Amino acid sequence: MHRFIIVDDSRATQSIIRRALASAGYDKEQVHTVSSAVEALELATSVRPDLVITDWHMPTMTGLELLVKLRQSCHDDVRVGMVTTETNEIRLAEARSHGVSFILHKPFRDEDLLENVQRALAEPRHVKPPSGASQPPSGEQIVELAAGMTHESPWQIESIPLASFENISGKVLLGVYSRADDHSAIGLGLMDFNLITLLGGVAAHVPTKDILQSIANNQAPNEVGPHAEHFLKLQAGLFDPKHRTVLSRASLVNVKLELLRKTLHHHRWGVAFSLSIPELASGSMALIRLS
Amino acid sequence: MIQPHEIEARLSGVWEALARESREFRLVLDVQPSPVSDGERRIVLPVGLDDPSHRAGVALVISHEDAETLASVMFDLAPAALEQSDIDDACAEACNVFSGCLVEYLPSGYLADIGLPEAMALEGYRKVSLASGVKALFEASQHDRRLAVILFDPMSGFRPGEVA
Repeated sequence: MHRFIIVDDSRATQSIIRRALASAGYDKEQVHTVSSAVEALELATSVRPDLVITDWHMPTMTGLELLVKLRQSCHDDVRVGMVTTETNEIRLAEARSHGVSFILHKPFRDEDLLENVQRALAEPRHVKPPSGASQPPSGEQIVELAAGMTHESPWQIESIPLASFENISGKVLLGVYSRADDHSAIGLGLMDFNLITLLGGVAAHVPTKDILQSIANNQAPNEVGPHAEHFLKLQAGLFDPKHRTVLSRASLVNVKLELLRKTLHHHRWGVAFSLSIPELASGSMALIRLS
Repeated sequence: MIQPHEIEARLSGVWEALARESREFRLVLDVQPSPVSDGERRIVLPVGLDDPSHRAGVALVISHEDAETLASVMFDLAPAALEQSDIDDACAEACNVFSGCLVEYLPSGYLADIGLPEAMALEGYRKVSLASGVKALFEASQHDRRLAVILFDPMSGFRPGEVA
């Protein structure tokens, strides 16, 4: 007999989920509903749920914060599914990195919810990955990748605080990395505009004066984009040597990294570097391994 | 960027899923300031963007009749059995779900920070709609029942907690 906690500040959505579970034969008595993540944390102790189905956007504590709290609590193995309107790629990636069983976008069909519920319940309870399974990459590894795709240009690298990346504004190439086997998101990669233009420009044989002018004008030539994205792809192998990792999405975003700072409270490791080609230009990048 | 016809299809799909009723949302090209009336509910949801000083918003304007239909289906209760709080709840959730369809219409929208829906009194909503820019208005009104989803960008004049 499976026990559920439904967490949603909308009683209407609680009602929809409860009816869907009842229609599939789950015992109504074992389906508990609460309106806040705080109540869910309290109830989890007495109910010991097999699956928590939670909304994302709720007052006081979000569904993502609930997921993180559960993972840090004595209920760290509980399966958690999310029903949400959330579209923020970084936040969705963070939820996946905390082992969410499914993320279903509202509105959902009962059949889709039940399919996800049944699949989640058929899986073993969440197993926390061993800490320290991967180490942050070194500057030498990054330089090797950069030199390999820029005709052995004499890159120099300097480690910079990850926090310094928070103040970067303007265009940033954002990559989301996932495990190839289960598609769970495990990391993020960031390149600032200067590095996109410098590395992409050198790789694409853009004349030096045009690279410098592009950086000065804050307008990159079209051909640099695919090369910058390829550089992010090459870095996929730096996240976890034991599992094949792929770049699942890369987008040029005009985002102040304040948003990232708020989102990434729980990364396992994060590194940032300043990369330069002497007497040409420099740019910055960061790699963040989600917890 | 996502195209208007895709948004129209998504909004129509949301209404059908939530209210079990077919209504076709259409982008209104010539947006005129439309009168707001007491025969409607107005729910507004703030959307944070990359720049903390820049806020957008999604509003749902829905006739009382449609609001009742929506709540009746979502709660699986006859209209007579519904309480006002049920109708408020259903409308707030519908606004939340509609917002998920619309944020991609904003630059960097897939990194948007979706807030919590709030019902607004007539005067408060009037202030917001006059102070804000309408980026897009999608409407699926039928007869005299108004059903509209509005994307404000930027949204101004919204004060969280000014609940109807």
